[in-house]
Amino acid sequence: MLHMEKIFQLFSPNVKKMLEEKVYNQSNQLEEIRLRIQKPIELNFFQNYLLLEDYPFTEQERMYFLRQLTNHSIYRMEEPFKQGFLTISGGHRIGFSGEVLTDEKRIKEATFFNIRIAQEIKGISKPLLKNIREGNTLQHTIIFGAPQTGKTTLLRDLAKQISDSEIIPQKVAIVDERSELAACKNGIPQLDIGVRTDIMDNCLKQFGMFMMIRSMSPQILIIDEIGSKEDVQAISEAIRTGVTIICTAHSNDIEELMERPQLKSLFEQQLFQRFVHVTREANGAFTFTTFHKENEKLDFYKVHKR
Amino acid sequence: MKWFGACMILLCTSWFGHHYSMLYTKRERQLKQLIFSFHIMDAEIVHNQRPLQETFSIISEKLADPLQQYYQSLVDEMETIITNLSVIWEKETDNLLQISALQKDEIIVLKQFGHTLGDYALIKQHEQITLTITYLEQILEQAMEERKKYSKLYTKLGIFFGIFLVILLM
Amino acid sequence: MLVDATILFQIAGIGIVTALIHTILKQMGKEDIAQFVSLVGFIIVLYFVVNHLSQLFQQMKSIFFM
Repeated sequence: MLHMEKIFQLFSPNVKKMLEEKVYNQSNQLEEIRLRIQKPIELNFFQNYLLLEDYPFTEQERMYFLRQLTNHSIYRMEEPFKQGFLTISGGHRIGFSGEVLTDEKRIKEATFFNIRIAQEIKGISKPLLKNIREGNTLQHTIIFGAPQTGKTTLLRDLAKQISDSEIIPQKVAIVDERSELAACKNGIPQLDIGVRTDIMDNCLKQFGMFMMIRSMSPQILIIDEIGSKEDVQAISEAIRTGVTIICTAHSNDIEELMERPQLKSLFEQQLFQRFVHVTREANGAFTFTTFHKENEKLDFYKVHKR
Repeated sequence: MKWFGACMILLCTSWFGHHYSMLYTKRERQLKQLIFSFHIMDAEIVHNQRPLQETFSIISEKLADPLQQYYQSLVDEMETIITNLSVIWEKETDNLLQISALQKDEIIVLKQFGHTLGDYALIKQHEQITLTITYLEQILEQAMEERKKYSKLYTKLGIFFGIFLVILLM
Repeated sequence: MLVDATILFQIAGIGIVTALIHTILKQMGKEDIAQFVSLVGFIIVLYFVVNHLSQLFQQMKSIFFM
């Protein structure tokens, strides 16, 4: 509950109190708080959602929210309005939408907000480490699954476990294109991604990867959600420099993944050695299935209760 | 003894005259400082997008009393979680009327500025600041003229009135 | 003589200072206060003069009605 204090402070005292009450039991299941102008506030939990009819997001509440967010300096929304999101301390990410300035492609007035609550699940990737290792070296790994299955949470913890490890200590570099892995605020990571980790925040993967390799000589390069031609190009070149790549992609199963048009070339070059399929159960438990390069299924089943 | 008394009276009235004369000088100086502080505010907000509390802190370091106190009070009030900045701004600006040589005209301009502070996008905020600077500069011009006209006269008035009393009671 | 120097200087002094104050106030634009001050000064001088005239008349009375 404590780490959500920063979020609750953004609301006026009445609403704050109400949020604390409603979230009390399920605080670690809260994924999003959605605000829509003149509509009830929505609380999105893992398994259900609540629409708070008695608490509409009024214009007054919206101004209060923006003022608290910027410490009464709303002009500071200039940059975030161009990006479409803002990371606050604690690693939570607030996305917004509303009226856009057509010429400049940035938000003019934000009337819809989506507060994504950062949930770190430390240790969840520990069992996975065993599987993506070959002796003392880590293998090029791609983690895939349907949307909202916790790939990012897994990747984040993987970065931490590798970075902090005493068994296989590695220099880790993260290219955090959407500021989700490390949730940097002013360049300072708000989430724990390990002690020997460097981050390139808010940078396109295709450029960030090479910037990192050139300047920070990492051993492991961590990237989230590959999909474009440019990402694939960058990965195949980066692998040639000797760095180990661990990344994620959207896909429902391994066959679909292999057939993805943009990613196909990557698999044809047989660059990846480990494929990890992530799924979530109804009760929030994670399951991982690891495949070796030869499509040998290394059945690894991990249940994690949330 | 008589001479001592005479000196005292003269000193007293002269001091009064001087005090009123200095009000004009002080007002002019404080208006210039106020305008300076707004220029700093503009630079910090437009170039660095610095939050208001930090901006006020920076400004307060560069000024002398009473404006230093004014901005510092704003910094202190913003230390806790506040609902509405314009309420605090208005309160401190009212106080400024008491602790400085500034007059109602500029205080009203400041209060109006407080209603728009921190609530707008960058360009509009910048416009508000520029507008306020323009108003203050107009007031400054007037204040400078007044100072030229009145300040020396009040000093002289104080001295002469003292002489008047001394002669009367001689 | 009957009129001692102090009084003379006083009356002169008050007259001069009142004139000066009047000028200053006029320069300030406070005409009405200026006029008021002049009036006050005049009354004070008048008071002094009348006071002394009365003294003078007393003395004359004592001479004639010895």
